[in-house]
Amino acid sequence: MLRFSGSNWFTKPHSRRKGGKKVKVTFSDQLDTDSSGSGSVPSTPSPSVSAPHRWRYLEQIFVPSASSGSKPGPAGNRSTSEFDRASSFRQSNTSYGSVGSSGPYNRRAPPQRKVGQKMADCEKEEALNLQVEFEWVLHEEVHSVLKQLHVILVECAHRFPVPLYGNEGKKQDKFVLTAAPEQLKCIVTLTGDSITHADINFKVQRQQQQIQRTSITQDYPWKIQQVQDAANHLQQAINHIDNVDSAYHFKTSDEVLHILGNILGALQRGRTSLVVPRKKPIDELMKSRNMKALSPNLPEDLAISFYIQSHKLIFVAYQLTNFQGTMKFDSCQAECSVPWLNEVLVLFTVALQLCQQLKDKISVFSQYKDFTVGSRSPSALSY
Amino acid sequence: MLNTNLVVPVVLWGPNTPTHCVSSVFLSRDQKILATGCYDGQICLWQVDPDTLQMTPRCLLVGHTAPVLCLTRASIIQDNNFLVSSSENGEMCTWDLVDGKCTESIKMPQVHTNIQAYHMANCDDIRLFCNGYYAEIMVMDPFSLEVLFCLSSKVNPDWISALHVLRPSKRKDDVVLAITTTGTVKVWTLLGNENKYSEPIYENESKQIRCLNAITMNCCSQNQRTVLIVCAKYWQIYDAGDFTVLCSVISPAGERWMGGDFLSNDRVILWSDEGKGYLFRLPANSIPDNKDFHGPSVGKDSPFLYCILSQTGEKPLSCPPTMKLVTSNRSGKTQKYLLRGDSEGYVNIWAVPDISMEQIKHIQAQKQHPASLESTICTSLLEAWNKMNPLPVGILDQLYQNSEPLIKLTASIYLPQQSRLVVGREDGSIIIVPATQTVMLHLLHGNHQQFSDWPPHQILNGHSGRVNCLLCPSLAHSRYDKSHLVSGGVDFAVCLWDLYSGSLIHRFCVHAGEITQLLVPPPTCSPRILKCICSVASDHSVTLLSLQERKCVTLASRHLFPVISIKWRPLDDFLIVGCSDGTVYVWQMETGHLDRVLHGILAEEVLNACDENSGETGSSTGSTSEMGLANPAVHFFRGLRHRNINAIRHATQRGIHQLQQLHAHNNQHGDFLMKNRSSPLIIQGLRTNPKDAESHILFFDIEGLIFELHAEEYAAMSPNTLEAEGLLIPTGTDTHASDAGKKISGILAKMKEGAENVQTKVQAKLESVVKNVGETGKGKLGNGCGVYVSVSVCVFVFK
Repeated sequence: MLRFSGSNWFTKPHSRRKGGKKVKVTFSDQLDTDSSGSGSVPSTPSPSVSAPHRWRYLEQIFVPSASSGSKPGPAGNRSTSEFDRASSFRQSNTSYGSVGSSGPYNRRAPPQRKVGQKMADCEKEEALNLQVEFEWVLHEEVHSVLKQLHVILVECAHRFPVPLYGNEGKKQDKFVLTAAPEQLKCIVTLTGDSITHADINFKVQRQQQQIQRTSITQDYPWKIQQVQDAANHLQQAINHIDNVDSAYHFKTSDEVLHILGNILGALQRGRTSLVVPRKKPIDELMKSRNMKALSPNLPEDLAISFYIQSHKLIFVAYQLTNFQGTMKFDSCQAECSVPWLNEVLVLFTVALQLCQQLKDKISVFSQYKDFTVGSRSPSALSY
Repeated sequence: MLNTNLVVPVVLWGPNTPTHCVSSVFLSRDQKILATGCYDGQICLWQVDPDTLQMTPRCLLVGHTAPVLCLTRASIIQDNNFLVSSSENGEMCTWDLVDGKCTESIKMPQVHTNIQAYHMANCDDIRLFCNGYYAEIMVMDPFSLEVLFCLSSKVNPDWISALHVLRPSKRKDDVVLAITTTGTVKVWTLLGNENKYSEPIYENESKQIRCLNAITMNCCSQNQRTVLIVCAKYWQIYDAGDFTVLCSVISPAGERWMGGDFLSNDRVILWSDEGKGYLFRLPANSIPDNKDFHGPSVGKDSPFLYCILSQTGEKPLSCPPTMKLVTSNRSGKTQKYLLRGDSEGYVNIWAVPDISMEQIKHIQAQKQHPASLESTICTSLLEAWNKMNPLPVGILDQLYQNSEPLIKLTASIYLPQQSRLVVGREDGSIIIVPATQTVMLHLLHGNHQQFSDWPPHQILNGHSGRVNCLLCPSLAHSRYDKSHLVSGGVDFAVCLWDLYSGSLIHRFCVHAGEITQLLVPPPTCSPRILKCICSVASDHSVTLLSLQERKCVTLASRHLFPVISIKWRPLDDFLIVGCSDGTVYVWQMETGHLDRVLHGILAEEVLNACDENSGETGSSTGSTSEMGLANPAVHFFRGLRHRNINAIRHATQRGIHQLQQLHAHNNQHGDFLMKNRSSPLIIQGLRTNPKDAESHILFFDIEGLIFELHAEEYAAMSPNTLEAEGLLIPTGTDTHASDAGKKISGILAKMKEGAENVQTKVQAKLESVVKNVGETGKGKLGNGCGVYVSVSVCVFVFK
């Protein structure tokens, strides 16, 4: 696996703790379990599973009025989440019948609710807590996650062998691609995003088998556009984060969702450009500038292509045959693993996940449309 | 035309304004039409009064499934009202602005971020110069949307971040000026004979300058000597001759530049992400006519900010507004306008002021603050809605008393057999009303409007919070109980209802997030799965819930990203879940085992394989849980709503299939009746943003209506009376069925002419009318292009 030169992102960010705000923040519990391992349940965007204490709290509200015999589930332990969720639900179900509303979702107090002053107080407290939580997420958590994300993306940019975000390097790697049994052999020098040198030999099915040779020279390198595309998308994602530095004051959840959407989009496109090579018609390949730069030039019925698919560099030789009027082509391919690609993809994936988790968290609050910073006003309290 | 039936769609918008988070703006040259594209993919057309600039929303063009990034004109001819739009996922459309039809559409692998419409020498009309997330400049035809040729780079090829096309004075060739993201300026010279088949066209010149990630690049149209390049942090004026910097201005604190343009020789306008316009006068060394041109920048002579265009009292925006400078020519007078559209759906227009040199000198001498100017016109969809009295009608308006606050409608399905409409609302209640009676209340005057308890309705209370989705499984397949209705809500619960008694049969609580979608498995599944429905929730989980056993059969959770597509391999017992990051999870339906997780190209192939599979087994066994019964247009809309391009594609394929079958039937004389006739009225919910309340479209199938009415009427008549009226051609040996067929088709042939009149009558009665549902496939559907329905919707008919 790869070693990270910078700080380890999988550990909990410290900024969250040193905020100094004494807030009953339920989301921290969830976060801790989430960041503990990559295999854990994805963070669920629901307030109801967010923290054990909320359920305890809801019990206070609902259990006294629950008429049927179902017992409230053991809602304290989140590690057995599947069971818990179900049981918490059962609990809210039963309460539904008499109260008419369960969970923190119902903003409008149903008219038939006559449980008393205690309930109203609890609701108010709940609403207030949610609002405080929301402001905390918006002001502390978002920036801390974006910072983490920035570190990851800069690290990712540094793995790219092209000039990108303060990264100067034009790395050079040499690879040998072969396909058994002696179908093709290709020795490739990859400098940055281009193949600057290659010796290519592959067998051609003619009347008798013959070996076709060609090469790529320094003067006319074969450019792999996928690398530049991925790097540019990554650069865009970093720019989106740079636009909102730690001094930036987020005002609404919509605003955060918008920025996260932009970052997610850029990262997604960047990763896809490496993982899913674009299919293009064979004639487009034949007349591409890369093909024309081969020395010696290939005969008209042959074509070659280099592309990237996830962490592999792939070489394909095509041979076109005219079979009863229809063009067919046979292909033969060889591949090799490119170490930096693997690292780049891992970092892309980690960044995507982190971004999605934050987005899910924010979406929970965006259900409350009147939740904006500074809206801790009667409107936010009068649930 | 996909459908030979005459269908009149009518939109009931409801009292809530649709969300319109503007991502691009456009004003036609004659100043009569303003278009705003939004992040949800719709384009709103506004009727503009050229004199007062008063705007009225006229149409909503539905079709794109991603944010609309570019809007541009398609022709130099003023009356030729066509518009080209391009979205963030590579879709491009050409729209006819008169009737709102989409005349051409494609989906390209390349995504454009900027399009300049330019009339080249030696060409009849405009060509589109596009740049975006790719290393070339693509030149396209606006009407066929074909790529005519590409401009490539030899030196440091990289994405083009900005371009400007111009014709140097006294010359017949055109020059393309462009800058890459890494700051290489390139120049191409075009002679007009370029085409697809020519050799790659490389730049004539290139030069590296210190300017990363430029946003816009403009050459002064008057002197063609100075170039304005805008980056987020600064803007600069360059000498076009040798690309040396003449002057540079940093963005105001806390703001970033978003774009800019020349106003005249010596003045520029810039706009920032705060949505403000800044007017600058250039220093002497940046004005070509001046003797100091190209001289070193003098300390005290720097660009001078003399006017700010701003808007006070705004709501906080969720994203930077989009802005554009347009020039309009009216009766010989040229006026420049700064357009702005923001995330709250507001459109502002500033007429750029012409401040004289004396005034600028005065401001400069007095060290005054720059003049500030409020926008000339500010409007929004919300304001247009509020102006209406009464508000645009919603389908359930009659249920509210005057004082009651309106409850948003959030989900709906129409049950054609029973002609009932089921509507879920924001407060968790589900209301069932007879559709025809509801529609009557809005469209027809009569006694029924006096009844206090009309229309009779049924309320299902069970959800606590918004109802997100509804499903009537028996609509999809007859194997389900006819009385079952399933609903999913924001309270994480899926409820099973008895439609007739209105009782809650069961509540499934298995998800840990709000329910977003309910689907039906295909009919080739195993017997146990056949009794199930599939539900998707926002915690990225998918379940199969057995309606018979009243329990969850399979819980497919732990997806890291939101679920965007569900496909089936019923014969392999596989449920295939596609996530937003491109990962595909393959689950065994019966056992609930995760069979495998796929990424990248393999994932894509598996998803595609599911589509092919369904295509072979016939359209009604759709793998994407499409129903065989309903009108493909309905699915099309559903696809649009869920932004599911596959569903859209599937629906279109089905539409074409149906059409082909129709033709086959029409050729056989008398098989007319066999046509899969959908009910005369279909009600479809339309919601363009998940936060919006639902609007509804009523599709009146006029032919179906006439057919049904006559079928009723003539069923009572004897063959002799029919013959007497000349409606029957006696043939003798035909079977009874085909007799009936001819009867009806004869009538229909007569009535078809009348249908046009019916249409106009219906239209006259309606307050809001959708003029057209034109589906344009143009034979490109087979290779997987999306298809666009243009619902051109008359928002208001004020006359």
